[in-house]
Amino acid sequence: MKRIDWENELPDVPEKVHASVLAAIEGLSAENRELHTGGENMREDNNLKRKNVWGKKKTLALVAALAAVLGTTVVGAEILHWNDRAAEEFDHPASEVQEQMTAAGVAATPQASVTDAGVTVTAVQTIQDEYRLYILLEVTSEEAVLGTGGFDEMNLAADGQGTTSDVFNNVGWSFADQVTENSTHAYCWIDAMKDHDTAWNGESVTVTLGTLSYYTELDKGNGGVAHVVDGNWELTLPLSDASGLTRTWDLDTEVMLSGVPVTVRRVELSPLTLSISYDDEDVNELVKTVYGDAEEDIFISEMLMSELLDSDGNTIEKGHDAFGERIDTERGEYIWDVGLASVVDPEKVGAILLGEDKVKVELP
Amino acid sequence: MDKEEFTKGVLAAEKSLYYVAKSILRNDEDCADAMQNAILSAYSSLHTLRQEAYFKTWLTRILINECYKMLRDRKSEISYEEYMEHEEAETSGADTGVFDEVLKLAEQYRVPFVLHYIEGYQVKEIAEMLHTTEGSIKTRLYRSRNLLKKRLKGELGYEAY
Repeated sequence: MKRIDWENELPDVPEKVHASVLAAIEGLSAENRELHTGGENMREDNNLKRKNVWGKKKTLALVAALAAVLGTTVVGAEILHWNDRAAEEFDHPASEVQEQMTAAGVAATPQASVTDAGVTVTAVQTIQDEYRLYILLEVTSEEAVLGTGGFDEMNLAADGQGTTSDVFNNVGWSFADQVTENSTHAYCWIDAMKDHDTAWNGESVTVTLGTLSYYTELDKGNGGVAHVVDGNWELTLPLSDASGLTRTWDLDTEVMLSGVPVTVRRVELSPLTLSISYDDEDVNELVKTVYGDAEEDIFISEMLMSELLDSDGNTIEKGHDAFGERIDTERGEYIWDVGLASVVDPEKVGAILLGEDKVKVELP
Repeated sequence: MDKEEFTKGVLAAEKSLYYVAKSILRNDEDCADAMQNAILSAYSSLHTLRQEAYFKTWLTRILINECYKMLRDRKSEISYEEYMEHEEAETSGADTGVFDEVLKLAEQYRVPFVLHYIEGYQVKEIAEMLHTTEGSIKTRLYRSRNLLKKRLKGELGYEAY
């Protein structure tokens, strides 16, 4: 059996492509200032079959937990519901959950707004747990410049200082809907995982957006004409301490993954985030046994959550791509972090299924 | 960076740009258009290049944006099935067996595959280019490897890459 020698397998650049490159180079001039490719915002489609399994009864435990965080019981308070679009993004959590998360300060409708270059950006929803921050922005413009492109630059400054990577990792942002015609209204989401090592639970985040790109003449079949709106949009949004909503199971449970014993050390579950910690040496053994000489990008599918079950064995959340992985050398753990597609009540989870084989790990 | 340095950088990156464009658009004519647009756009946006050492990565990111813009435009004009039939016919030209198999992968798999295994970008860089998470890129790389392994083993006798 032979191995691939990419050097010999890749085709040469076709002559007509090379000619186009040369023509572009020859055409470089000051007039090219009109063009800008900008940000093509591609939203990862999780392809989840979402269903709302959060009936009224199941909300009570989370409601109670949120009340504990808030320090009050909730009776008939006029609490704002989430922005409809944000609720849709998280599979329409029950009203009680929306209300209580808002009351606890971990969900908010800031309505903070900034206008520059004829474009107004309004933060209409923030939702957070201990490890994840989601922000929904409503964008309006005087001219139809929204939808076909996106914001090229985005920074999240924790408590108004620094850059995104100081506190967050695995950050995505995009216009919420893919369209072929610009409009004067659009939603834009930002989704960020907090870095576990920084343990930041700060009081605010400053969102800075720059350079809005859009395209016209898309109907002419030539890729359209690129335009840019030079602007700077900055919003500071208040946040809350959401650490009280995380539930942790210290398990040290051994499971068989692809015939290899692997110890599941711990599971941490917040309403929006799941982390599964494994014994690092067991993981190395699994990789060696199953994958041989693995490269740094190896994806150990056996270890990823395929389903979350409630105490009755019903599926609460099903199969989600990981946000990221990390190693805790101090504890000797290999950890997967997952951003959930819906809001989950950590008090109601009964088990987790791992991998395509759906190996069951009880969460008592 | 002046025009001469920019030109040198573009020509040095030409092959890489072509493979990336090909992984998204597959049609050589579209690749030529996207690369041309990307070069012109990059030149006008030189002020956004923070470090010259990352010129190729920066230019590739611009190209990816350009390619997806064109792709979206194409799909809005014809049905997806018609588009895919057209694209598959276009890719049976001068490509070698292995690269041809890569191009047959679904777009969400072949783009990260080309960026990582052929162009050598790290998972983190690819996630930033495609505005998605590292976990998602790892998932796609995993699935693309498995799919390609099956095809290459069965058809061309390859073991691994």
